[in-house]
Amino acid sequence: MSENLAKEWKNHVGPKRALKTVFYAIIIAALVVSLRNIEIIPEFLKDTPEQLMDLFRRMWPIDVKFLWGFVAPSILETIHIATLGTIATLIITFPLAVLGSKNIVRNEGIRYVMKFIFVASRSVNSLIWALFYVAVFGPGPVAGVMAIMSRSIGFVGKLLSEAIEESSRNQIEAVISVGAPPVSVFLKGFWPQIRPSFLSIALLRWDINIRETAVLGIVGAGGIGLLLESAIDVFHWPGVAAILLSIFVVVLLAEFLVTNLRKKVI
Amino acid sequence: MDALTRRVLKTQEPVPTGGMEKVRRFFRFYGVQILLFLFVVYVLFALSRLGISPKRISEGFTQGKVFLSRLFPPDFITRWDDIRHDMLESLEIAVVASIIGILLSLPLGLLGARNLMPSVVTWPVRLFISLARAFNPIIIGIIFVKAVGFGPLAGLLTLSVASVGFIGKLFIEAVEEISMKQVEAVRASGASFLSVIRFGVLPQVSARFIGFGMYQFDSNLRNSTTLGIVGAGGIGGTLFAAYQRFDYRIVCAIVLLIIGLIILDEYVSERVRRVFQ
Amino acid sequence: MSEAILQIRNLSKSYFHKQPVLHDVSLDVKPEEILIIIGPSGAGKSTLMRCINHLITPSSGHIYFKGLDIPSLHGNQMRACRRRIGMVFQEFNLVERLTVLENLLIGRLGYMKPLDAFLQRYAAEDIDAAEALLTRLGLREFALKRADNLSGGQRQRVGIGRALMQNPELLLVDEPTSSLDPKTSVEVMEIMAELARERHIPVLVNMHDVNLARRFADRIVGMREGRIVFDGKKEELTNDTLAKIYGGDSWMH
Ligand SMILES: Nc1ncnc2c1ncn2[C@@H]1O[C@H](COP(=O)(O)OP(=O)(O)OP(=O)(O)O)[C@@H](O)[C@H]1O
Ligand SMILES: [Mg+2]
Repeated sequence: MSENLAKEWKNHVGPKRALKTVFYAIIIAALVVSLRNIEIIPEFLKDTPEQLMDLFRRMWPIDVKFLWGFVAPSILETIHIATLGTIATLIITFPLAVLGSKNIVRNEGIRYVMKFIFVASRSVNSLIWALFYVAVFGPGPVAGVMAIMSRSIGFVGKLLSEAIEESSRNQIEAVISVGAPPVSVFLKGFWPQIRPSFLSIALLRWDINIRETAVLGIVGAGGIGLLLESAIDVFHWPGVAAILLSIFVVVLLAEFLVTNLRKKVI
Repeated sequence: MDALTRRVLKTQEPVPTGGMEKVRRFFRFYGVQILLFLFVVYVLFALSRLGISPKRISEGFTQGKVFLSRLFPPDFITRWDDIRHDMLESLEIAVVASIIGILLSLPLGLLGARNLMPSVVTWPVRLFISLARAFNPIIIGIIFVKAVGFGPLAGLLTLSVASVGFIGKLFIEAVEEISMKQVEAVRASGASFLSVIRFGVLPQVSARFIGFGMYQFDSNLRNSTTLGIVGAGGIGGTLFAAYQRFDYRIVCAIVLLIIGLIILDEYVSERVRRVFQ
Repeated sequence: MSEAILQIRNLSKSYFHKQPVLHDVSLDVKPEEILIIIGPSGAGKSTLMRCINHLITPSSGHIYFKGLDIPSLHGNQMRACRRRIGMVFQEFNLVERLTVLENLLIGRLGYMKPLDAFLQRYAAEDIDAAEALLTRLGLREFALKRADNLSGGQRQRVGIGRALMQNPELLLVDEPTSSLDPKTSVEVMEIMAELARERHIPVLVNMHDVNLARRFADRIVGMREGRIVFDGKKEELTNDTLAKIYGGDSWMH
């Protein structure tokens, strides 16, 4: 080789560095433009840590009476909403996901309709879905369940379709070849293949739904969020602390449960 | 286990003697059925607790038709200036929060990795990250609104914290999965701590980090469109105000715009991800 | 021969309380010699090497390297000492996603200013030195390929190159050929021995292959259960002593 390595190295890293520089420049530009438009009052920003500390100080000690009397039932309601919402999602989404899978439905039109439903469902935040359902069903947990369901369909549908598309045709054909009726084909050839993904997706979404349900009450769709909002409105900080603590515990428990159950089903 | 297998097993196993053994066999054969039964009981209980009944649902659907008719046609015009300003604000909050979140997650991710740091360091970092993750951004938003007042600053802080919660965790996991052999080789050359990180750790995780960043931006964008509902800036505020005034046609317009923005973002980030792979 | 480069005195190490992996090991490495340690798996050979480079701290004892007591060093002193000792690993331990050249230049990190290292501003002399070494190792054409594209033998050569880039005064080589086929093993050992001799660097090697050890060693040390049970010229390594090192002799037939 005629060129020396030092030169080759320069030619090698030069373009990469240029690309990186452009990338960082774009990010910095976006940052500068955004910061200029967002009206941030420096005094408020400087005050933030102090204000936060003040809030946390006022939260202590936690209101234990409030915890058992009000928070516990409300947390249970939250869990019910999340669970029922997830179950409703699974029931509705399963057929939709089957219809949205390439290896089952050849008709592109139907698949696109399914895809559209999934994308639309995912694009709207559960809080906004909750607004709609509160307008329809009135305030209360029914709106919460519907909102959780509407938001989850897209997530579950997308992942489930992918799982179905990965299932192999051979195993299904093996069951068809022995002359089994369609129900058996489904149960013995198809379901065993997607069962692990199905359960795993369901658990994952349930975990997410627990977190999301915790805030639906803010727009009146049931659960702990309503209590949180009213406690904050009346500046009952020890109660707020009790609520936050119980949400934290429930979320951690749900996560722990889900990670361990998922290990079992996969 | 199907009925046939169950019968075969039954005939082969010795007849149970102790009472405990009987109970155990019972659960081995019917465990799944029992779980399913308990599950159904729970579902029915929960349904009744929440007051959900077919009647309630069908009433809702009649009401739903009325509501749907009041959503259309969407009204983009009346509040267009507010909408435009707030949509941009949502976007800007997402951009800044993602950048801040990523910048903070880098050091925190390294500090929280148990294969690089002693537990006195990892423990508080991991606690902070799991706190930031446990709470929905809306809840963090409410607290920041109380601390710094209404407006985009609260949203910005909220999503920065939420970003640290998510990317921080992913980054810690990525760092904990690296091969320590490569790290050891760099250490053995006498490199400083910073160089060990730069040459032993970062090359192993940087490719995944870009993916995390993109993912977080998607998530921040979604959240920045709703944070306004609790007063933390962005389009959510205008949306909620219109909703409370029963201006459902404006609500509809805003929601359609949000969907459009999210779909556009998904398309772009898919593209960017492909470039980096 | 003159005074030893490395003097290990009464070195002990236990990972868990009261379960020593090294018992009271004493050993000298003389200038320019190739010293090969053999011994069964778990004998503590790797542990000994990792103590010498202070990747782990021994429980007791001393390691004198040109007047420095390695276990007592900290921080900058320890790093300055590490860069004078090159290390080659059994599984190569290359940074997979970096180029071959950058892997060699990692050997220079101990000499570079932190900021230059961070920004990958390598000195032209270092790149020239790397180029010369790569040519010797037969890897010149791979210089800008990523390390994960190389075969095992090529990777180990990069590993050797990286260690030599440190301009080491001692080379520690931990089972360099265990992941390689017999022919490649000999080739790798040959190039390593050749380069070390040229630079007058003493080499301390761990290995399992007794024949390969006989072929390349000036001196052989046998370890068993954390103790040195043989230390002599390769001619003195009889079947009896091998039986003593590895226990029993059925594996020889
Ligand atoms: N990080 C560690 N923590 C605990 N025990 C260890 C550690 N590293 C090594 N050991 C133990 O120390 C003993 C000696 O290990 P070492 O790796 O030094 O042996 P070796 O002679 O190099 O063996 P091999 O030929 O298999 O590489 C072994 O029993 C091993 O289990
Ligand atoms: Mg070893």
